[in-house]
Amino acid sequence: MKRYLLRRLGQSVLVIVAAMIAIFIIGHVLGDPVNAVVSEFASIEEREAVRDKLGFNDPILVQFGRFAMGVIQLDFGTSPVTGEDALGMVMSALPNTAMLGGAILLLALPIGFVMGAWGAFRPGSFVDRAANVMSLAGISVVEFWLGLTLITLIAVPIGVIPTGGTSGALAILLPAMTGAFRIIGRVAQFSRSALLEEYSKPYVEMARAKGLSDRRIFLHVSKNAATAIITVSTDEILGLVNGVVVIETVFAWPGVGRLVIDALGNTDLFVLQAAVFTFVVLVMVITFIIDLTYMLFNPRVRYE
Amino acid sequence: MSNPAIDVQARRTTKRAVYLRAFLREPVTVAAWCVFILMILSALVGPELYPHDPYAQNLSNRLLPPGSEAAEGLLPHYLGTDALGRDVVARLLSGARVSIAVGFAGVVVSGLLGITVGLVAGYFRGRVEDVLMRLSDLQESFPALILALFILYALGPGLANLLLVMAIARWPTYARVSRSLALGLRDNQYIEAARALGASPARIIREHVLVNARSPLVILATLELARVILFESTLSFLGFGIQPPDTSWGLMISEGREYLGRAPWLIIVPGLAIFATALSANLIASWGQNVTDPIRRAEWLRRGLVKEKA
Repeated sequence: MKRYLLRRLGQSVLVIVAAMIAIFIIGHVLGDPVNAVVSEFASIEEREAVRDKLGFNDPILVQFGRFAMGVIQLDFGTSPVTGEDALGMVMSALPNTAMLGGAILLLALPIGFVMGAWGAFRPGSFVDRAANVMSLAGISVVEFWLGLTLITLIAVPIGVIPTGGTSGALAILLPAMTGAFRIIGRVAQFSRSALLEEYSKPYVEMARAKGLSDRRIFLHVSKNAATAIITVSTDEILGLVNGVVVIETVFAWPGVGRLVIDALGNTDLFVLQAAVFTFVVLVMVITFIIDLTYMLFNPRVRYE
Repeated sequence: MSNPAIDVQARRTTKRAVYLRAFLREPVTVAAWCVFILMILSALVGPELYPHDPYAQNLSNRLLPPGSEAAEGLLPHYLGTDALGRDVVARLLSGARVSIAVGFAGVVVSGLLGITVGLVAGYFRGRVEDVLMRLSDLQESFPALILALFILYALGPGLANLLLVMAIARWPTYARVSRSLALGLRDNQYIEAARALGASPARIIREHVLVNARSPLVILATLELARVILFESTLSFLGFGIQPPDTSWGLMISEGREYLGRAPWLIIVPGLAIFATALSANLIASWGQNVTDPIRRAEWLRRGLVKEKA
């Protein structure tokens, strides 16, 4: 278990280093970092002066060293647009994103699991077919359109539900529904097949023969099926991060995703780098936690 | 005694009839194919055949609801007009051309990259495999949309950059799948035979591994077509994909967003087009899985063997 943890930790460090290199190359080599600091109407002389002053003429490795040192000290620079610390801006937007993501998962995971379990027990029932349609529709629909359609169909006629912003508890309803849609379908599909597979194993028959109640058997089975469901969730987390960027834009939700889109529009490179880095770290931390829970559910990994 | 040639002919006809009947037994699949072909046809010839000009602005006709009369003896605006008075059907058709063309092109570039990497990794194994697959794993731990947006920010929008970003964002899936296919095929005797006959690795990968891995890869590409179309529309919606005055379905939704309360059709219609195209591609892919997998195919064909009850 210690070996597994260490290896997993090493992987995470590798991801961080790779993210640092990628963010540096995209920002400073593919793109021109000077664009972020000077206005687009600046003369060539002004641009070159700024380039010289900020050290963007130094050898690429020196620049990368400077960037990496900054990242390690959690300093991504100051946003030329707002004059605030780039990472500070990301950090103050992060709670909103966490809240949205949490709400989406809180909505999607239980509903998806219940629908999947229902489908496993009653194949062909209405709920089973609904889950099927949802998982198919989920991979065929774009989130921004779903969000805008929910606004048109629900928020505009009813009028009580806000179409954007974070005012009031109801404000999170539509964004969470938008984000949850695809995940519900996927989780339902995977819970269903995981439960069916688990129920067909001999130990279930044994438990039945011993006279265990259906409820006890279900607890045993769902604990074992959880490993399969958790593995799916790792994929969904990445999808969720992508989704959050879009959903925050559609619903004017002041989170990190929105910040990314704003920074892209304002050519605010430093905020952009800080936000992208934060997302990568966030995904890494979450998948790490998921792998730890996986270990809790799967003794084979634990005792390796 | 019957003529064996006729026998073969007859058997071939029955086989085709069984396939056809099995196919027609599934209304959902038939509908998916119809929608898919319709979409491709309208992307190919729609803009030329449809009389309205997708770029012709007419500010006195802005935001007309669906079914409104058009001037000068033209067809009515079946799906209304947008904020600049442009006909929505015409824009939908020219958007279809862009969205579907970018979808196919995106599948081709990401597929070429990913399949090459995956087959090479799976065929050669060893160090090559380790490096390539580690790279693909690493990239899959990055959120693809954010990576794509960031690269488009650095390179600037544009069709070539859009395709580049799609290749970068989507290659790991192909690499993972084609690697595992290559792993399953590489130890076959016919490949050993080809190697013994002195065929080069490139030739073996191209003519033996790739050929035998083609059906799962075509199915994956069909699934990816749906994903790439969704991806393009998201990038265009966020302003980093197709740029005006060109149009794509995602861009149409983005342009219609301001008029959400007054002209909901500007959002609903292109969104439904995206949905229908992606859904049909996904359904075709799952039908393809049934047809190409020998075990599932037998089950699938059994439905075609049973004569319809009158």
